[in-house]
Parts: sequence; structure tokens; C-alpha cells
Amino acid sequence: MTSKASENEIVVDCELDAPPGKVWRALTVPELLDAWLAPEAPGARIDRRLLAAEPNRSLRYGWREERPGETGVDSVVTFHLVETDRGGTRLRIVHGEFSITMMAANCNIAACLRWAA
Amino acid sequence: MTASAIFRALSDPTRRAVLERLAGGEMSVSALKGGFDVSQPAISQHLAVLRGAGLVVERREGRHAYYRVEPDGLIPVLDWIGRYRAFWPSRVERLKDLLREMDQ
Repeated sequence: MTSKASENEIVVDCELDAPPGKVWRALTVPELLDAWLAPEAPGARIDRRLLAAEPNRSLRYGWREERPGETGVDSVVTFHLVETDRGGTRLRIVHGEFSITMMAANCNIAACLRWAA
Repeated sequence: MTASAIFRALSDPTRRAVLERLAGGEMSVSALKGGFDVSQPAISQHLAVLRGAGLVVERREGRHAYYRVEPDGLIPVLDWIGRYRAFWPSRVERLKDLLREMDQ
């Protein structure tokens, strides 16, 4: 598994020992999604809204985690599934589009982040 | 200050541009206005939002107000990104466990 974070998105790549159809279910059936994605923080909840789906290939969810005393940040989580030679699945998770407009091309957020460093 | 308030403040292109100009050093409102095609009250309004989000600090000297970047202002955003940076790899491990438990 590899992961990286840039100023505007987090990308995680991993390989799973299950075919895309099975991974797809874990990413779409609400009870299965909750089994691995439910928030741990007390009182926290995650608003997931399906934005787009291409069966067994890709999924986009609007994502907003609410914690007590904290307004959630709107973002988008995308899952990409590719079948491997061995019948498993290569899964890429991209978490980005934080409050969407921040990603406007002219936003030099990298500079902003450097100030904070 | 919450990450969402900061993301909201940064959602406006003029405010991002104001912040970038202030990154070069402290400026008065009138000096800042020079670089923008908007009125001074509009600039003041944007500065108020940036101040409210903890991204800039004001210093008053007589009738004049000067603004500079608050260096720690973006820490909540960095914390938020850091949280999810740790979140996804740990959840992938849970997904692997779940896939083992699921029926074909």
C-alpha cells in the first residue's frame, strides 16, 4: 500500500485479494461500507452521498465528516478498481476536492501551506 | 478555528489573492487595494472574513489599519488533511479484514 498527500488531495493505492465484483459490494452496500468506514471519534458521523458510479470500476462519493463542535468539510472520495492478473483488485482511493472552490486553478494553496510550515 | 471556516474563507478568489499579496509582508488596506479591481470597502470586507477565519491579523496605528498573514492560521487545515492521511491506510486494513469475512 502506498499513500501520498499533496496540497489538494490524498491518494492511497493498495492491492486486494478479492475480485472487483466483491470489492464493489464492500464499497456500495451500506452495511458493508459502515463495517470498514464508520468513524471512530465519539459522536462523529459521515455523510456519504453517491455522486457517480461505473459498476466494478469506479465510484464517487460526496464526503463530509461531522464531529461534535466542528463543522464538516465538504470533499469528494473516489474509488478506482482495476482487476489484477491474479484475479484480485488494485484499488486507488482519492480523497480531494476539499470545499471544491479551493481547488480553483489560480489558488496558490501550496504557497499558503508553506507559510504555515 | 475550524478547517471548514478556513476552507470557506479560501473559497473566494479575491480573498486568496489578498492572502497571497500579504504573504509578501504587512500592508495597509489602501496599499493592498492598489493591486485589485475592487473598491476599498470590498477589500475591507474580504479582510474581515480572512480575520474571522484566523488567517490574517490586524494592527491599528492611528487611523490606519495594517494587515499581515497569521503564520499559524492554516494549522487546522493541515491537521484535517493529516487526519485523513492516517485514516485511509488504516481503513484499507479493515477493508481487507472485511473482504476475508464476506461470502464470495
